[in-house]
Amino acid sequence: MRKDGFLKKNLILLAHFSIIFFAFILQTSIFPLITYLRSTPNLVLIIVFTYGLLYGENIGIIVGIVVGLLFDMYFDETFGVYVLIYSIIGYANGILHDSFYGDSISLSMILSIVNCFAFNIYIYVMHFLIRGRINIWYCLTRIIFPNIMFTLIATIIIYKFLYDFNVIRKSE
Amino acid sequence: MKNQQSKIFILIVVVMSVASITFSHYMPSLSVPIRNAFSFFVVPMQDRINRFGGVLVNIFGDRQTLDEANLKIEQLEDMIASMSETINTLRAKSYENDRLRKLYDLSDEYSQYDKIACRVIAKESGDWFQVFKIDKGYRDGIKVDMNVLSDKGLCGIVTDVGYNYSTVRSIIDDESRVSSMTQHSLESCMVEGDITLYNTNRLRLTGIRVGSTVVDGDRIVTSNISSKFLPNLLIGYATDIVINDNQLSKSGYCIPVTDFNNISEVLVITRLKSDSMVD
Repeated sequence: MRKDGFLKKNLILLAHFSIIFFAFILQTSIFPLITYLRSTPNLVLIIVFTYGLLYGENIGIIVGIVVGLLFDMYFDETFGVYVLIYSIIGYANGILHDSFYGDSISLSMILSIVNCFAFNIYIYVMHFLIRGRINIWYCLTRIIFPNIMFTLIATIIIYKFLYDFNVIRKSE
Repeated sequence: MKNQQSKIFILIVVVMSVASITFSHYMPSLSVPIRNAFSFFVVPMQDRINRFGGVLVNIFGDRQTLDEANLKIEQLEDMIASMSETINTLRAKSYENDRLRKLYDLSDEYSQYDKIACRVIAKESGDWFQVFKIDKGYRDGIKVDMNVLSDKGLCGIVTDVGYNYSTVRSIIDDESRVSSMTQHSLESCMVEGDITLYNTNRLRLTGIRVGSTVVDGDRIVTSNISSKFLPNLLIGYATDIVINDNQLSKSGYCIPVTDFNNISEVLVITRLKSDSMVD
């Protein structure tokens, strides 16, 4: 009986990890191929804040670290840039876990906008402002705003799926 | 209690990642083994998914009918016929050229470099960067600072090499600076990427002498004096050249020959500029 529970727990863990990994692959390998997309939605960000909201601070931070490590190992020259922002996002949204029950789509939409904005500003500061590029207005209108819109649309589609997955897990 | 616990948790994570950012900034080689281990299983996967994605995109994006395609084939066959004719003539000339070069004892400076064909497997997510990954690494003999070409001209430079992948920074990336010159007047200038120009597919052209004769439409190639780029690789064409307000230099734009929106295969030149300095 205990062995069964152990297996199940691991299977669920595996399912969670495959969701994250699938989103990562989709975002880095499939979306850039579709050249007529004006911007690419940040799927991984949606997953981080949704997990924070649905499962609490600790899980939010862990998912943030996993996702951040994926990106750090794969892209950036300085190790830790993405771990920092994603774990903070996971934690900040985890705080809301106790006050809100995550079944409202409007809450997730507001969070999507806020988180995406914070993430993009962080990237701007870390990579552009630091080198003295101060054309923030251009970045806001041409890069950050489209990114927020695309992420918002993706949130509406994905959030329900992740929420249902959470409900199924809890009911079992 | 639980609140306190997660506060400590996030604090530890923040401190550790800040420490790691600082460390890897000053000692980039530390993270290389971890990256290699990771890319060992991600890169083959990404490669396959990328091919699959490419097939999907083609199915949806392909609006050409069979008739059009057939017509195109006929045209291309005609073209091949006329081109092979030209090649034959050129080959004869090339032999003659080789012979004369030997006679004059000139080194083969502009002739073919050895190249490796690579497939683009991933792009830095978001619109902030113009950096991509290719599916060959030091296993295949790629080194940092090797020049990357598209089918038409200069495309970027290798900035990071792993076991089975490498990272390429496009010349339109905000951090990119290429020392270049105009092909006919050999006037030196600088080609810079700019985030505000990503969408217009243009590059900034700066540092042109005010008395120079650079005009719109000049071919811009990599310069002889660049420390990283091999000489005479075509970058693009100059346009909108104006004299700066300070009356000391000219600047303008360069339209690159490479279409950075659709890069799927690139060629990496296996010769480094620093090698040619050694010999």
